[in-house]
Amino acid sequence: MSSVVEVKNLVTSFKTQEGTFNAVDNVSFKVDAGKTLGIVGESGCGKSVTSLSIMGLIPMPPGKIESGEILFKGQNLLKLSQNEMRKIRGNKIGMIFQEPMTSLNPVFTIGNQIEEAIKLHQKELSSKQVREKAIDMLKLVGIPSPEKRIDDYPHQLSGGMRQRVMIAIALSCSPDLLIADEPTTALDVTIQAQILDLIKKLQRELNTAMILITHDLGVVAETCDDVAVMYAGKIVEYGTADQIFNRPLHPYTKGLLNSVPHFETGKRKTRLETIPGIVPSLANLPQGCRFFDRCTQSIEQCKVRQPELEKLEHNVACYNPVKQK
Amino acid sequence: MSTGTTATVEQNQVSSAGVSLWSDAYRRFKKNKLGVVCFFIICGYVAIALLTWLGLLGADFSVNGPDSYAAPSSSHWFGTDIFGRDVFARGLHGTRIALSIGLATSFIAIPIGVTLGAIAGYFGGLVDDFIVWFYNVVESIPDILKIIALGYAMGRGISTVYISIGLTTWVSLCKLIRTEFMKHKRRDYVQSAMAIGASHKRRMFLHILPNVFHIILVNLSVRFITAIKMEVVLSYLGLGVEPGQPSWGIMIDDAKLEMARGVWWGLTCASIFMFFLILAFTLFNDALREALDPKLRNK
Amino acid sequence: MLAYVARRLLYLIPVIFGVTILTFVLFNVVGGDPVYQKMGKHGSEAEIKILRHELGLDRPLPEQYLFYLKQCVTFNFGRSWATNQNITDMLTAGIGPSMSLSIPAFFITIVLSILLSILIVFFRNGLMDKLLQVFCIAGTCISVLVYVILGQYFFAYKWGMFPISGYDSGWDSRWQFLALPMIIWVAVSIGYEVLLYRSAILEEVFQDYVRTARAKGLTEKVVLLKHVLKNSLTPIITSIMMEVPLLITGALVLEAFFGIPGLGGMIYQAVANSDFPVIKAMTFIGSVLFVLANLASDLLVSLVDPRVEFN
Repeated sequence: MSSVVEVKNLVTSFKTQEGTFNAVDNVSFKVDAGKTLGIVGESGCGKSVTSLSIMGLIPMPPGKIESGEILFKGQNLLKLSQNEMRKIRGNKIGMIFQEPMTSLNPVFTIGNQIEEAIKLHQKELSSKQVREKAIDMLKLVGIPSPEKRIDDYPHQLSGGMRQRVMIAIALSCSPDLLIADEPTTALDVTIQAQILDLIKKLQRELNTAMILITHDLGVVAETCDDVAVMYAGKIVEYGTADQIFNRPLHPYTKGLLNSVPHFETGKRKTRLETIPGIVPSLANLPQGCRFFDRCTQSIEQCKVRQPELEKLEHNVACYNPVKQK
Repeated sequence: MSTGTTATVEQNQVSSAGVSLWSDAYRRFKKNKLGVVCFFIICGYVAIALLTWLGLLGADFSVNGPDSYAAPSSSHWFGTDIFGRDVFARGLHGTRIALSIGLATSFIAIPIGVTLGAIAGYFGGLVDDFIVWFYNVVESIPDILKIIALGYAMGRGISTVYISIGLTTWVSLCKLIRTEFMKHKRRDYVQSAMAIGASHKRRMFLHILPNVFHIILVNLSVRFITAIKMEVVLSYLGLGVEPGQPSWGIMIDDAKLEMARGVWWGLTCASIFMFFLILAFTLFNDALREALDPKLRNK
Repeated sequence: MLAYVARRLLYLIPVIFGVTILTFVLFNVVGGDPVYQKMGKHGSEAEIKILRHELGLDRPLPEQYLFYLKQCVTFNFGRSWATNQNITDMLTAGIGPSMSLSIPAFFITIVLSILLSILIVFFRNGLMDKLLQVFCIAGTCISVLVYVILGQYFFAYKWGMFPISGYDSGWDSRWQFLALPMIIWVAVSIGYEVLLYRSAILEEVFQDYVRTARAKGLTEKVVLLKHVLKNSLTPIITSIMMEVPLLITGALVLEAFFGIPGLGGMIYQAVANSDFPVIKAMTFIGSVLFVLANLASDLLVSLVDPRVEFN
């Protein structure tokens, strides 16, 4: 089975007052149909920039895609014209954003905003059919009495409802790839699970490939088949969810896992661990491994040279990976 | 992206002591080359104003010469006016008048606007209703008519210009300050000041005011622009400074008769002086706002 | 909504009432003695007394105020001191010429400004953006009076493209006199308006919902003209509506300079002649218009922005 999307050696840079730096540095991964890739990392590690690069929504300037390929069903998106890219955005690739409160246009009804996407990519539908489809979409994402709700404005809906509307917009053209950028972060904990279940369910029904971007490992564990851990613009570890969660190789991944409470293990941990230090500024990266300053098991080599992603048990970028017990 | 975290950090700084806000703003401002250039242009104008005031520059501005309406030459860069006075010297003196109008109107309008706005926003309730009513009344009379009315009340002269512009242009600042005070009084740091027993006055002026000071600063440079432009219109209406005075407004107003005789230098001289001062203030103001406005900072 | 309008209209009463008090205080209490203004230094004691009586200035202040209030309420402002004409007649005569100039000029300015500001935002950070911005900023740094003097000198006096000044009340023949003032009006205001609209639009361009719109695959044109523009309309409407009173009270400098017999020119004459009743009448009308425009602006904003609630 060929991948829906395959990113190869993507480098995306941003120009700031402090200089130009690579927010995404040599990142590669792929996602198959019906599968979910989780991209995990702290804020500022480049996960959102990665997803915006795929969508072709990097603001240029100051952003710039320096090199690499983004193969979407075999087609390099970076080679497409603006016009061709627009036919893919919202049609073949849907995206859900982090902030449901501000991601919908406040001065148009939600119906208008869903219909707009449908009308744009399914020109054969009559306006009556478009409206019916929009109502169907609202029903699909679990909005009660969608016939009435369709004429509501975003401010009349709760955060969870708005995120459902965002999902309806993203899925309205049955995309091959769905990018969900922290879709539950801004929501209440009780709503988070509902939204996540909904996304997961719809993804399975539509057999869509999904990239789920999050800093929440719990979310990843529940939903993802594969996981890429990003740190300071680079993927430091990449493998199946099982490998990452049960046999992490990178000290950073290990640290992340230790900083999450485990309730299911039965034994009570006395204390949650933290990773000391902060993420280095992208404008001022060390010469060697970017995690060096915070790493508990660094060796001499780490300081001098940057480790590249290498296949051990699974892919990891570390000179002194965690030993499995 | 990283910008998200810096935004929250800066928000916190705004509501705490405000010291880092200023050093941060200073750092940002310094990066804006155009803003810095404009700042120095304004300083240049201030220097001209001081030197003319002390009589060290353009001292011959009121000395009548033999040649009425002499064309520009090496001895008179912008020619002479009807009485043979050097136009360039008068233009230099106009700087003094223009800046004094900006400064004096600010001294009148800013205290009124800030005090009323602070009281209204901080106390709310009936006091607020009254102040809002009052500025609604003042605002709804068109500026020019208010200035005309005050002009009549006091007779022509430069102090009339100061007072009439000053007393009419405080409303916009008052509204801004009122909104800010309403926002800030609910913030944690004001609440905690209340908890430790700080008085109302102390809370208003020691705790909140420093946090809204950037608004006043931005308003100040806008004020100069408005005042300098207004002076010209007042001169045209015959409500400005006394006709003999070397203000840019008078020079431009005189030009409406001079132009037909082909005397273009009075208008040109005053317009050039005015153009660069207002331009400098406009761009300086933009730079200032960019450096100070938390919303604009991340762009 | 209706209840809201009714409440807002009720609130007009205290504001207008305040305006009459303020105007009265300015002109009748602190204002210079109008008799002195009117007669100059030459009037004898007896003449002054007669005139004061004629003008009702010897009556107690509260009585004078009530008289003025009655004038305002009945819209009958008495007679001009300078020309002895009925002020209400003067107003009705002046409105036509004022609006013939102001309304076309105003609409041309707004349409051009919105188009230009969208264009600027569309090409933001490009050369076009920079150039237009430079022009607009430079344009706002020049006094109105300079525009008027230079406009008249070059277009009318030197090149003879337009009449130097004057007016003809004929429906067809008035435009030749109004064309130049209109051009100057547009030139004076367009820079300021474009800069204002530009920043209102730019404020919205970086919002999250714009990214969502782009993620749907919409063209930049639709993103700007539909999503961004409708959101930036609030400040634009507010600023436009604030100028509406000026459409009726007229452009003071332009009308005076080009001899257009509108209300702006009337104010100019009144100021020159210390014609207090005319200025007081115009002040009252100006503020009523301002308050109404304010209400209209709030109602319009609520049409564009569903989040605005009436309370």
